[in-house]
Amino acid sequence: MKRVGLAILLLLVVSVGAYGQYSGHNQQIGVSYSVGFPMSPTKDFVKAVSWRGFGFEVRYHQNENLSFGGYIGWNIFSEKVSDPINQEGEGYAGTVSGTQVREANYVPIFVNAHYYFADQREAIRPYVGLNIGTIADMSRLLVGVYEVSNHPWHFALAPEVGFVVPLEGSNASLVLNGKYNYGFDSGTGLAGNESNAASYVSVNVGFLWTAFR
Amino acid sequence: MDSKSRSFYGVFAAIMIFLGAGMVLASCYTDYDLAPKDFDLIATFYDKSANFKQYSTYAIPDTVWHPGDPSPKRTYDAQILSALRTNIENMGYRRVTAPVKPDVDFIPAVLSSTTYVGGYYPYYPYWGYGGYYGGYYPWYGYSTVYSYSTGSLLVSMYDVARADSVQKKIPGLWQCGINGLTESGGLQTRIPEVIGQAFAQSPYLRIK
Repeated sequence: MKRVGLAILLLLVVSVGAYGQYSGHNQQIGVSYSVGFPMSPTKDFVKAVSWRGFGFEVRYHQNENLSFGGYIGWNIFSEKVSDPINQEGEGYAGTVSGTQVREANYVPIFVNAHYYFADQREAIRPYVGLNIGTIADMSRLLVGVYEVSNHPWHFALAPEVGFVVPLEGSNASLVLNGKYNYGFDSGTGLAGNESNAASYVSVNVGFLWTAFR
Repeated sequence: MDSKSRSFYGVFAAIMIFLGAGMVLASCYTDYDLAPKDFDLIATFYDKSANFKQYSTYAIPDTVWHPGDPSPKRTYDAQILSALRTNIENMGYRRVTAPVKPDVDFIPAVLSSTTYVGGYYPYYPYWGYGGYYGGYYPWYGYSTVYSYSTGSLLVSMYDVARADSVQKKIPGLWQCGINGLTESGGLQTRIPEVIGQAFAQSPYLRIK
């Protein structure tokens, strides 16, 4: 947790610093509500859709069509299940059953680039983007009175498609996008899963504000 | 409103929404409505080299062993033994009593302290209580260590034909641990349920 806190703090400090440096450009900050759809192998651990998520981003526009920026978010996947867990070792095999609470907390921390297909005068600006960075993973599994947890960091990529809809007469825009977040395998997963890779599609809706022009 | 003050309100609103979203998310950590039965944990393990089809008869003591407990509460012993016998016989095993020698021996124990089992640790060094041999045996076979808390029910199944009465060792075939069972509420219904689950998740024990 300390490392995650430090990473968040670092990102915020860098963001604020960058504001100063780029004050001559068109910069946007944004917040979004994020819904997460687990994909395999995350889906092998938690199948339920995550309705708990949000993101915070900054975009520094270089010209009409290109922006660079950063994104930090949080998606919580969790469910209560009673699927037995199979275990196998040298000479023995077994099954553990009981109510399990499975929880995957993903904090994606990305730098990104976005390419816009329409200029700022258009009513709808479709764009594509690529995010690169890390996903801080705080997963835990509770069975009976026991709890096991994993806190790996994944190298992560997230291709993104979306739309920006500038709101007339204001410095705000609506933003709707989808990201395929993939944090590469960095060890064994909980509940006997071979891979701990983080994989989910996030659908995000929110606002972008032009902070300074 | 000029563009600078609009920007200020935009930034202010974004920060407020970000903080608000964080608080909402933090409050979403639920307790998942866990009831006492959600804390039942049923673990079963078996020796992968065992061929259970070769066995047909079993023995089980008339009492549950309470190792290390000088004045055990035997409130649930009869119910535990009855549920075990029902499930063992449903798997196709036929009970025999001394002097007939069984193929396998089932030994139930309720733990009076937190206990670690596994890792080839000779857990049952006793040779003088219950079962066909009148003894509890060292348990061999697992390289993983599991911790069972006070009140857990541990049932071990041993291969009687391969018992070494000189070394006082016997190979274990199957083991079932039900965590904290006798320390929690609603046992009248939960004992048959969880013992039934232990056998349901061990279909390899079935011999007919």
